[in-house]
Amino acid sequence: MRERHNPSWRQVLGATVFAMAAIGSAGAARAQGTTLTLMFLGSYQAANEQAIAGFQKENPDIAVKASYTAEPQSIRALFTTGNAPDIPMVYPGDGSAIAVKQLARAGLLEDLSGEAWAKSVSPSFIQSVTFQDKVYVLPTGYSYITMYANDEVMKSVGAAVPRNFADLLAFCDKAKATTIPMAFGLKEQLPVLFPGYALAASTAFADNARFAEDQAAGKASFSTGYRASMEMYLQMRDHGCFSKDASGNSNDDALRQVAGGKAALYVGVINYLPLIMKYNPDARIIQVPFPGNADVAKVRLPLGPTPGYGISAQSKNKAAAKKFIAYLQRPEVNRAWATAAAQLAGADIDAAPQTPGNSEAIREFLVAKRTVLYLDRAWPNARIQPVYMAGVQQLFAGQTTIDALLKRLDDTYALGAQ
Amino acid sequence: MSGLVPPPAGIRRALQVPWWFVAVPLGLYVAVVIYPSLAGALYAFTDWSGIGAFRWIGLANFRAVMIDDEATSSLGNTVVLALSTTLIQNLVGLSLALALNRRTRLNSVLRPLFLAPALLAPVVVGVIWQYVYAPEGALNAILSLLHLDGLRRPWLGLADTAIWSVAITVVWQFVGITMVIYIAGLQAIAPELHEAAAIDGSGALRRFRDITLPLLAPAITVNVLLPFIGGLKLFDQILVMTAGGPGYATQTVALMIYRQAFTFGAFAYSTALAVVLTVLVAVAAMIQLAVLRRREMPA
Repeated sequence: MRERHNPSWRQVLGATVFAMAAIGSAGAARAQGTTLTLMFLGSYQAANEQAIAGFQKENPDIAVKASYTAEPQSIRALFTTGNAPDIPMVYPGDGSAIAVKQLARAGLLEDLSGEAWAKSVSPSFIQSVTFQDKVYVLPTGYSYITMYANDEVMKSVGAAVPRNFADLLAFCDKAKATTIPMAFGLKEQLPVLFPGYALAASTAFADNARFAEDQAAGKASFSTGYRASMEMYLQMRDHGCFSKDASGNSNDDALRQVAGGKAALYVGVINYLPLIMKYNPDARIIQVPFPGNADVAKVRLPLGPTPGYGISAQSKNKAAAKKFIAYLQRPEVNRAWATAAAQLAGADIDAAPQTPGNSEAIREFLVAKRTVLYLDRAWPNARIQPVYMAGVQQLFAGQTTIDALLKRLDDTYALGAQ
Repeated sequence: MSGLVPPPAGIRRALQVPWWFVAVPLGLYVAVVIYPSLAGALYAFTDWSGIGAFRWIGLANFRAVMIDDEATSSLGNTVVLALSTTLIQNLVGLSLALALNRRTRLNSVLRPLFLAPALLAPVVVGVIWQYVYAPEGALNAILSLLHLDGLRRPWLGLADTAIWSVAITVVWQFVGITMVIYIAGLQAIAPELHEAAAIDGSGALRRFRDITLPLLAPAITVNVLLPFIGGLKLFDQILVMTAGGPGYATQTVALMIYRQAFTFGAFAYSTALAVVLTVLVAVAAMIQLAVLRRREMPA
């Protein structure tokens, strides 16, 4: 049998010291304040770090620990395992595995409708950041798809920048003898979207501004609306707009070609301008809307909110996270963020957005509201965009037909929200 | 009669490893591999999207796999890659082993050189070869130097060359391992057998067919099994070099599993595909093992 002892003074002293140490460390932890976790696409690192530095200066008790990924889908896996960051990157719309409607539908995002900034989100784009009329994401920046023209190459060809589709084909016919008319990174899937979206925006959506709503209501389909854009895409190929090596080029190859004067034109998002200028700081690059229609009046500029900031419903630091997002929405912070991310500031999108570089023509389109929301923002599931990208690659490789591709897109759209 | 005499019972007992020695590693294996695999496989019978609740849907995901054109084409690509890489790797690996089997100074330099690519991460190999196959890359440059400009092409951008370009990359990376296994097999063959056959008038080809090949059977078993299983699971190089394109021309089942889960959020469907791939690998491995083992004989 074990004997019971009264505690000695040494034991009492030891316990007291231990307890004081424990209390002390808890106090130290409180003094350290809150640590917010944030996860975003790597290409936004500069913009984020700049905003985080400014925020922490104002809020020394809140640390923001940011991590970056090249595979944003991994954020969904973090939600799966219960390890979601306090502030995850969230895509607008429903067309991605980490799109706002997908995550909000599963109850994984905090409702931010009560935040002061929520009422100032542009009415033109509010649908992209809401689910069942509740706002879940701050759309910090906006991007557009533009046609970049290397002025020096255009002059050497002796041609003006094309303003309608007939001009574009005529330009390709003329320029292909001396240069690559349009740089294209067809080996990768993402670049496939840029001319494709620009063509559809200026055809399907120019003819019917409510095409997306009609498609959702079953009154329109890819087969009825996108045929012209696919045919025009192939016409561009047949007129030699793209080099014969385009299918082996990456998007980065294409950016280097237009920057270095090996190609005259390139179609892509505005976010690529810093890269082009990095590859050739002396290049004079002009931006114009992609001439996706024979009628100049029907040309439209694809535009949309880029990935934004949400708050995980699992977060234990919601108040601090809301404070950070409110900070990002301040006009001066938002403009600085947008400049660093090479995008348009959300704060200015309805008024007079400042467009970077030589982009007077783009600005005219923005002011005149000759824009179309990025097509995938209104698609109901994450499968449609990959089918579109792979399908266009197959179309160029002769492995499918326009009819078959449009049917596959319609079938995938019909799967609805998933 | 064999001259081997079994040790006394006391020594035998002392040499025996207690059964519970295996308990810890076995428990770990069950906890880390078996249980999660089986638990994960159950999701193949649900409609789980990776987040939120799910419901049981029986075999619906497996039925969907059977009629999915993308899955069928990915399966076809996977089998083509597994078979072609296994075949080419063995032919080249065996040739290299025969050439480098003798112990010379040159061979002792060449062997590690051929083995070196196997030490690289598959992602790194994919990135390197992506540059080799680029339109302005090394391969096209060499063709131009040889005045073969007609053969220049965007190797990874064309459906009919992309899959073979990937296959060659895989062979380049792993042929060294195949070579080493064959060299080990060749060196286990008693030279007296060749000498006796040569004295009996057998030529080199006959000796290779009747002595070397049969005695290499255990090495062949390993060298067929490993690349074939590796080929069925091919992922990294494809993701880096082609991302499954152009279109779906190089998409493998492993890549499709990844995309379904992480790009589309179709975790349940992805798990069903993974179950199909696991069964495929297991059945293929068992058949190969049974066939190849029958040919083996002691050296």
